[in-house]
Amino acid sequence: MNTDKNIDRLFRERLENLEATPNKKVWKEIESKITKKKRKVFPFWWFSSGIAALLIIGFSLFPFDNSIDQFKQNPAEEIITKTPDATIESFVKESFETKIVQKREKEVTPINQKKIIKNKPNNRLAIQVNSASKEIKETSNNDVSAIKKEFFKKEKNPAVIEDVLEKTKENTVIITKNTENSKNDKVSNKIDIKKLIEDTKEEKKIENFVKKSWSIAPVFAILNSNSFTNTSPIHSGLSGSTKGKSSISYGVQIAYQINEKWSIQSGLHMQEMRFKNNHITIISSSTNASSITFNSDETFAFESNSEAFFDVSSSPLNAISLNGELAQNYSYYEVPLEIKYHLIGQNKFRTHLIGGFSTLFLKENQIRLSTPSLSEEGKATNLNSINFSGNLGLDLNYTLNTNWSMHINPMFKAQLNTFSENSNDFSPFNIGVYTGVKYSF
Amino acid sequence: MAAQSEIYKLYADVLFGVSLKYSRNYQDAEDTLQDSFLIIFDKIKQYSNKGSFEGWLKRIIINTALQKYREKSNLELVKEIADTEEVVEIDFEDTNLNIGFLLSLVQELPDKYRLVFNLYVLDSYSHKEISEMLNISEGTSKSNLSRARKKLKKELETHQQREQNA
Repeated sequence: MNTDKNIDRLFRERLENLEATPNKKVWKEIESKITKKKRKVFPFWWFSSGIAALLIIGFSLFPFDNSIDQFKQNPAEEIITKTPDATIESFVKESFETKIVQKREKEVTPINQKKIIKNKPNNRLAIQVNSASKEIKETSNNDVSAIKKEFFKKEKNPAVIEDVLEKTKENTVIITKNTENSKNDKVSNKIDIKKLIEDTKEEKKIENFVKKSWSIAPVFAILNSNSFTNTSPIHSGLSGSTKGKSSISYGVQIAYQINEKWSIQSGLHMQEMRFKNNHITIISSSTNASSITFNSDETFAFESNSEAFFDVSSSPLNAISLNGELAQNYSYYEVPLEIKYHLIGQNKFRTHLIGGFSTLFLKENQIRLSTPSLSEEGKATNLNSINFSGNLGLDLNYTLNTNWSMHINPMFKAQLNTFSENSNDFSPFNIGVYTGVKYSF
Repeated sequence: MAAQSEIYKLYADVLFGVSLKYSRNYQDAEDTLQDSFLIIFDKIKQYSNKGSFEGWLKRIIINTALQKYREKSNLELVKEIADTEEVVEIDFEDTNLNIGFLLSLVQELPDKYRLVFNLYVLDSYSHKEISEMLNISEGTSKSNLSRARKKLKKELETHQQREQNA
């Protein structure tokens, strides 16, 4: 047994406090593994940001209403778009009832009138007028002149129409040919027509809706900063005392209506976050255990008074103040990318669901420490310059007229990459009410 | 990054010492040190300010090493040492017994013996704690310790005989 003890003692004496410097490559390895791990966080966000950017470019280069444009390129087909029911009837029934002609005539007339009143007699108008009268000729050979007469009687400005007719006489032949061709095509294939009708109707529906697909809105919001955890990002001793304060956000929002249900929106906002710790103990400290660098290079330790817990190492004798106040403000340039889905409401009131995320670029970073005897300013050392937030909210929209509408949207935004290190698991989010006046074009 | 680098600079030497004692060789010790620091930086938020930071770091090193050899230990056969009754007086005050030599003796012990010897003798864990940490019975812990001692003693004797002969 004695030998045992001797052996134990020998090894303990010599080896207990053994220290050895590891090869430098060990740290190199660790370093590379840590940075690799940190970098892993980013690709997902860069990836989705990339996709979002592509979507935006895609929408602006190739808008969804391409097919409508194609319709407009062909004057013969345009007639179908403008007066689908009448034209279809004539094609499908292949009957030439004056009634229909008159009906169509009435339909055509207001269009002409409207445009003429605007005093913009362009080619397209002329085409409409010509095609219309051409069709009248074709569909009702009996009484062309009579109808024509009647047709023009109704016009308030027959002279202008005549003028327009004159100007575009050369085009008429070609247009007639086009009308003739498309008529033949369609008569020979009724199913196609029906399909076309459906398509056209749908197209029209979308056209009506998408008419104003872009919108821009100055927005303003009141936010309330908050956190999922009860800790403090500044100092572990402050847990339980961090309170979120009200702040603001303002900026511009741009939206693009993809279709009846979906739209996509982005913009640029300035967003503020504010947190405050009241009634805290401030202790002079030689080491910097907090995530703040003060402009004066002083270092402090903090304790929340709400907790009856004092770190043993920092004697309260060093306390500078037992009633200090620590305010943290930081702000971001926010670039959101959100999808809106139309939930309910058809006319004036519409409700949408909003979801998406924001990329946040750190703008201001400020911490102010104040006690009755001392005031210090500094900044947080653990804020990332690029942050992200996941966004979810509702958009309540009230339409004022065709161009203008107002909206209020309560939003919830959870930040995802606020702190780089030692943030004591502080996980900030904000709840805000955004409001703005939207101009659609 | 700067903070991690500071922690590494402050504690690498002490922790590498611990790692060397618990490992089979220098290479393993480096691996264990590296793995441990990755765990440390990952779990540092969980450090609760209770107890010393160095103690917390050491426990991580020890756990990492235990993990390493616990996984492998099933595959390893421990050669039993013949119980030799010869009594040779060992001079424990011998200055020739330098640290490097003693460390190599510890490292050359079979894993099970080395872990128990380290835990009991150098880091003052009880047999009960060791039995829980290594998932063995207290009896096994005790017998592993005595075998470790016996083997070390034998190695020391051989060493001294060689010295005397030289």
